[in-house]
Amino acid sequence: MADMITEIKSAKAIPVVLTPFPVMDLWSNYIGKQLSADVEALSKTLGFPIVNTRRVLEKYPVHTIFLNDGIHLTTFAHSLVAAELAQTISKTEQLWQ
Amino acid sequence: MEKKIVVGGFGACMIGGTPFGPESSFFNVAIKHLKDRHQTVESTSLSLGGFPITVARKHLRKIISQNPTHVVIQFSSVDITRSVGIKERVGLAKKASARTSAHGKGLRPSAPKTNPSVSNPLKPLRLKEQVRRWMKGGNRRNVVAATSNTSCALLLNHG
Repeated sequence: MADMITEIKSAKAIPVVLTPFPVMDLWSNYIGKQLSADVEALSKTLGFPIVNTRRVLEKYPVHTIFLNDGIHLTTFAHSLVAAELAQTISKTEQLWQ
Repeated sequence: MEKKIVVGGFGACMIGGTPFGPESSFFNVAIKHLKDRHQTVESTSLSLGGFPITVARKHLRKIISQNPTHVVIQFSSVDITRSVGIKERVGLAKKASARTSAHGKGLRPSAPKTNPSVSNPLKPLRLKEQVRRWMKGGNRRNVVAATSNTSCALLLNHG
């Protein structure tokens, strides 16, 4: 992950990392939560913006976020993540200007 | 003069909008939002289905070669379900259930309420056997029902 960030930065681009999407599974969510925390820590160390998808989606009822497979997101969830992603990219643009 | 924004999307199936299609994906919707705010926005995305992040780096050059100003990386859910051995699963399940019962909120799935088997970390291995039987019997409806159980992600990885 850190190598990928370095590679993107060396190409003079800004990496924007989405933390793993939550899923309807206790074990996977437990690991996902740890991985999200790791990504967040790495973002502070290496200095890149992230979109914490877990934080965005956990405010809403589970049935509005997940499809029946418990993994893929609904269009509503896609739109929530999209708004946050657009906002994050816009913020980096404002910092440049 | 406003800077041109070129956004490269790099991720799993959901960056391509699976199962709805690219127009519904969070990446393309975000690009639409950006186009409302900025004059010049271009985008390109690479969607790889069901890949672990360790493999992802090999494909990163395809995005970087487009000279993007931003690269959006979306991890697959595969990463959080992959390579979890049975011993780890038992330990993680105990910790996870202890945590969720302590807090009682957050993203606790509704599945355990309707399906008590989810709380049993050994159950996915039995489910694997069930899925095999269903596949042999050609009962696709039951297989789809099995995939709705989130343990299936683990099953596939051990299959």
